Amino acid sequence: MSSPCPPTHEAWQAEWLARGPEGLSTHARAELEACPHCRGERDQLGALQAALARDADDEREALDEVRRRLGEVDPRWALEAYARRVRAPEAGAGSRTLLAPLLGVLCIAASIALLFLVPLARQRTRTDGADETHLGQRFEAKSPRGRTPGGFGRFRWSKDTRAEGGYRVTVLSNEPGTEHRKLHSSIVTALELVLPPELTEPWPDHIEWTVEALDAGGNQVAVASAPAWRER
Amino acid sequence: MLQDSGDHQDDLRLVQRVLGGEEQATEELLLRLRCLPLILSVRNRKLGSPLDAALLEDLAQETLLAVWQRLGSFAGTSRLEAWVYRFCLHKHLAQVRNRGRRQRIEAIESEALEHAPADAPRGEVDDERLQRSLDELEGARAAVVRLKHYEDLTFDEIATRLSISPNTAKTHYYRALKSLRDSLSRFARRVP
Repeated sequence: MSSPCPPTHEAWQAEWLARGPEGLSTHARAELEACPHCRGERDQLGALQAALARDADDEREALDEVRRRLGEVDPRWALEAYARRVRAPEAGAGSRTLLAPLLGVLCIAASIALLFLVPLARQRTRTDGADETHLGQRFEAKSPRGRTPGGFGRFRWSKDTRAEGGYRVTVLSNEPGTEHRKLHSSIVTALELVLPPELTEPWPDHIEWTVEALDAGGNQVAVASAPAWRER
Repeated sequence: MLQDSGDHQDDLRLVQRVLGGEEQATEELLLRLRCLPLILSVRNRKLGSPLDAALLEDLAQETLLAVWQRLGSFAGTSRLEAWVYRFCLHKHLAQVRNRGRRQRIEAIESEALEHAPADAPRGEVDDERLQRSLDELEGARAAVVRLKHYEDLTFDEIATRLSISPNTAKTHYYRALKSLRDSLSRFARRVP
């Protein structure tokens, strides 16, 4: 659909709609005001701008409220919801194909999430570290443990033969007189986790970390924890 | 507002790490996505709670899947939560429509129109059609509209963000508005 206006009007209309008529010369403004096509178009597009502004206000208002109320949602919600949908037999095959690389990780993570907070909450009250023994096999959070001159870059633990689903390491702040705060969490298959200094450097000097051994279904089969503090 | 661009880039990097298969990033992203049921809940309340809690929970899970399947299309133009918000909006509207509650929404919108201030004539542009029209916008035009209205950037800031000149940003904006107008007309003809 070609415009009945001179080509200059398009640039002027663009300016008017972007910044209002103030940005235009007197001549350009007068010409646009005298052009019925441009005037009609500005009315239409102006209504659209108002609708966009309202929609944007709605979005901002909604997201502000969401931010304020975020604490109301269980942090595990997305993990659990996602695992349920992927595991559900009626879930679409296409989705499964697309998400295949993530599926294993998420299923494990979701299952762990179900069990995660309770044992973790229990462990938060421990200050001297805690290890478990299974059939004579001691599952132990080896290092860091206690005073740690070298910092928190490397976490090591003992092997648990049942840990087919890997190990989940969770690091919490452990500053006296303050609430525990989750600093890091990840699942690995090795018996150590190495974190870069740029990640661990901002952490508080007192931490408590937990390692959970996970079976193939992502269920916790053993847990060990240890407090550690570094000297700078 | 420009300082926010760092956050957007952080979100984009997070999504890229998830797409690259990083477990830790996946977990981080899923934690962020707990905003999703709240967005749906807020949106549902705004429209007069046409969906009950059970339907909202189902919808939240369905929307989560949709978000995940479209992660690759996240361009970092907005914060992750704002991007998720658009999914929620569409899914919620579709669900309400499917539930045959269209009349109820229109009644609510009409009521809002009556009480809206004169300079903000709500209802003049149908909410759902506007969303569908916004969906049809592509590339730089979509980005400029997003940055101008939803991120509240000036055209100079938009130009910097998109690495284009301010005049090009204005031209994209003008053409985007015209595209939106045309889409809205098409939907108006198509949807009773």
